[in-house]
Formats: sequence, C-alpha cells, structure tokens
Amino acid sequence: MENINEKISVLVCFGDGEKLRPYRFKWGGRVFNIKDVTYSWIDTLGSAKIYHFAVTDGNTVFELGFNSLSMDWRLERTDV
Amino acid sequence: MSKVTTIILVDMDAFFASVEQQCNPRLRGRPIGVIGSDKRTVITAASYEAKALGIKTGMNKFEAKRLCPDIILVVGNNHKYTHTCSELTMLYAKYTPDVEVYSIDEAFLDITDTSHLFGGAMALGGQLKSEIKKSFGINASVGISHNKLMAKLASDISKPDGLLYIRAEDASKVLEDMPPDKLWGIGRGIGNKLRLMGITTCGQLGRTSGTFLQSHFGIIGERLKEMGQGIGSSSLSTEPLQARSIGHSMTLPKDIINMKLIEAYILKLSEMVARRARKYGLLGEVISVVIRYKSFKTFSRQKKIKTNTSNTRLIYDTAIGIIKGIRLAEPVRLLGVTLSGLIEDPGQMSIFNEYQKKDALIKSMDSINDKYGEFTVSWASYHNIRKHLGVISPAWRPSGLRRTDV
Repeated sequence: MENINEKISVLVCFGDGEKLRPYRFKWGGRVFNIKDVTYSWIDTLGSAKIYHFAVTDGNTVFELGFNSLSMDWRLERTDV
Repeated sequence: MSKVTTIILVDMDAFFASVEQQCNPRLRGRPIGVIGSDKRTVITAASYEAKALGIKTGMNKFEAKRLCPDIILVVGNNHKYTHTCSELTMLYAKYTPDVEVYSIDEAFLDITDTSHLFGGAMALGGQLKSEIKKSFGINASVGISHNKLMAKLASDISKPDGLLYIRAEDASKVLEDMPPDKLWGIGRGIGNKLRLMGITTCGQLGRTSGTFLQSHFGIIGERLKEMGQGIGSSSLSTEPLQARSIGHSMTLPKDIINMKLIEAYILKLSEMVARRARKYGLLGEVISVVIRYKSFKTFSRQKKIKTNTSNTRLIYDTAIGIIKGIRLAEPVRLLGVTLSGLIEDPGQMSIFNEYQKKDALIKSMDSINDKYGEFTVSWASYHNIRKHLGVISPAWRPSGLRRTDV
C-alpha cells in the first residue's frame, strides 16, 4: 500500500444501516465507485475522531479517512 | 439445584493477519505475514496459509522470505486491531456482563447466568461466532467449559474457526492422552522436564503424587497435578486491573552507543510515561530504566526520588542520572523507562515559583497535544526520532490506564 494522504471529495450516506458509508469519491480527476467497504475502524488525532474505511472499487483497495473535527475526507493509502 | 459454571473463551484466529485479509480482498487465501514498520521488525502474526508453510510469529522477515518466497509482508496498523478489540468487548457485553479481556485477541466470558437466554452454551457460542463474522468478517474459535483452563483448551483444540464444549464430566477423557504442554500455563520447558520424568500425558500428570511434583517443581508442583486433572479457576478479572507502574520501551532502529542519541530516546520515553501518568491523574516516586544490549543481555536499574511526580523533566533527569552511573558495555538495542510507586495526584500546587512555571508549561503542552494529537508540541531534542511507531504490549486493554496509544 502506498501512502497518499490527499484531500478528496466523497459522496457518503449517513444513517443507512451503517452510521456512515462512503459510496463514491473523486481523486485525480477520476471518479471511483465503491463496491464494498471491507473494513472500518476509528482512531483519534487529538480531540478529532478519524473514521477510517478500507474500500474497493472491485480492482483497487483504498483507505479513506474522515476527520470529525475538520469534516474533511482524505485518501490515505492505496495499492494502485 | 446449583447452576454449572460455564466459561467461554473467544480467541480470534490469526487476528492481525485476518483483519488485514479482510481489509484487502487480494490478500485472502494467501500466505501473509503482518510485520512492524521498523527495519528490525519481526512477524507479529501469520495467516493460516502462511502458518501451513512453517511461518511463525517472531520470525524476522528475512527468515520468513527464505522459508516462503511467496509470502506477502504487510505492515500492520495497530489502530485497526485495538479498535476491533474495543468493538468486540462491546459485542461480548450483549451476552454477559462478566467479561475478562485477557489479551487483544482473547476474552473469557462467564455465561453461567445468561446462557439459557440464548438457548444454551453451544447456541450462545455459535451465535457469538456468527455475529463476529458478520460484523468484522473474521473468524473466532470458541471454547466452552466449566473453568478457564478447560475453556482455553477447548478453544485451542477447535482452532481454526471452531466451537467446542468440553463438559466437566468429559474432562478426564479429553485430558487422558493430551500432552501436558497443550495446557494453558505449561510451557515447553516444563513439558520437556515432565517428559524426561516419564510424564507424557495429562492423565499421567493428574495421577502423579503432588509431593513428588513439588520435589521437582517447587511450589507449582501441586498446581501441575490439578491442571492434569482439569482443575482450574473460573473467576474472571472483570474490573480493570490497578496498574502498579507505567512504562514504555522501544527497540531502537539500530544499536547505539552515542550518549546524545540515548538522551533523546530517554527524553521521549520519559514524556510518554509522564504524559500517561498525567492523563490518569497519577504520580510516582520510583523511576526505572531498562537497557538491552546488542547481545540481548537485559537489565534494569531504579531510583526512588524524594517527591511524587508526573513531571517529564524530573523523570528524564532521574533516568539519565541512572544511565550515567552505568558503564555501557555494549551498544544498546532497547531502552525503557518506568514510573512506579504510584499514588493518585492530590492536585497540590507547588509553593515554589520555579516549579509553578514548569507545571504551567507542561499543562499548556498537554492541552495542545490533547487537542491536536500526541507530540504536536514536544522537546526539540527528540524531534528527529518522533516518528517511532508503538507496538501493542501484552498488557494492553481496551479501557483504563492500560489503554495505551499504539
């Protein structure tokens, strides 16, 4: 997995069975449709909670992170 | 009629490796080894596919590659595992309030008073396994019995992805031909010694005279006999353990002898220890330093100071004082700092202006680090070593003082 750590825009749904689920994100001008959220976990950065999601578009695995304080999404890592 | 005590041991199968395989579908069904990020890392967990090829926890990555050139080495992410352990603990609480988190991947549950609500012990065990699989996508082995020793054995026998109930009346039959070192608490050393004495099964161990065993093993002799008979404790430590010390250690990226570098690591470790003490409102009066040489020779020295403290600088000064009193015989591989003799911080302010200023500085640093994350503000002298990633200590627990940052 390669560290990326870039801000991205993400289409998400709150409160649909899972509390928070990403569906689609845009990175480097390309749109990736998330087929499966394979794992999720939470950690903290100071007073911010970071919600992490391991996701796949069917070909590639990505790790996305949502910062609850700054309310931004980052593409943290990928195996591209 | 009195209820039969029923204990479950839930043991996650190849925990770290299973989590990584669940995260990345490409890793599923393949031999993988989870490693740390340091150069001198070892395999911290191997998938079942890797275990089948001889890969074992603790092997260094070069040994692993030599044995299995196709092994995929994945740098572990401790946050995934500690978070999953915390979530699992909440899941267990749905089945019983009596839960002892024994380690990051094992927990004992006393289901004596709750199993009937789920259709009995086996049904509860099955339900628990399915819920873990559904929530996390990973497998657990579940052992059920009348005490912790036998529940652990049941779980070990049933691995991987197993579910086994050893009823009290069946215990002696199960144990009769079982090698003693399969029991939790009997290591290879004791197992070998027993073998040399002609005791090769738990059945034989249980029939051996306690006095004879005591003459060879000392105080634990009688306990070994009981273990051979399947007798063990069923009481769970459900309350967070009162910590008697706070310690951190790190294996250094390379062996060092340079005092400036040693000072930088000791300052970082002192800050980690002091910060955790302050977070939980504790002070300590005994500071210990542990040193491991290149040759793996390990020793510790300690000093009692005149005051109880959680002040980084005071802990550091004491630790460095200890190290300067030692003539280092070899390059250092590992350093550790521990604070013990703990008491609760009464919150008493110092009457001396100099200490008030230092305390105020530390408070300010803590509040910045609380808000923006650990080591956002830190001492300049360890700036260049701040990216060291922690490991999950065996003492890690999902709550209380033992919930360390990883």
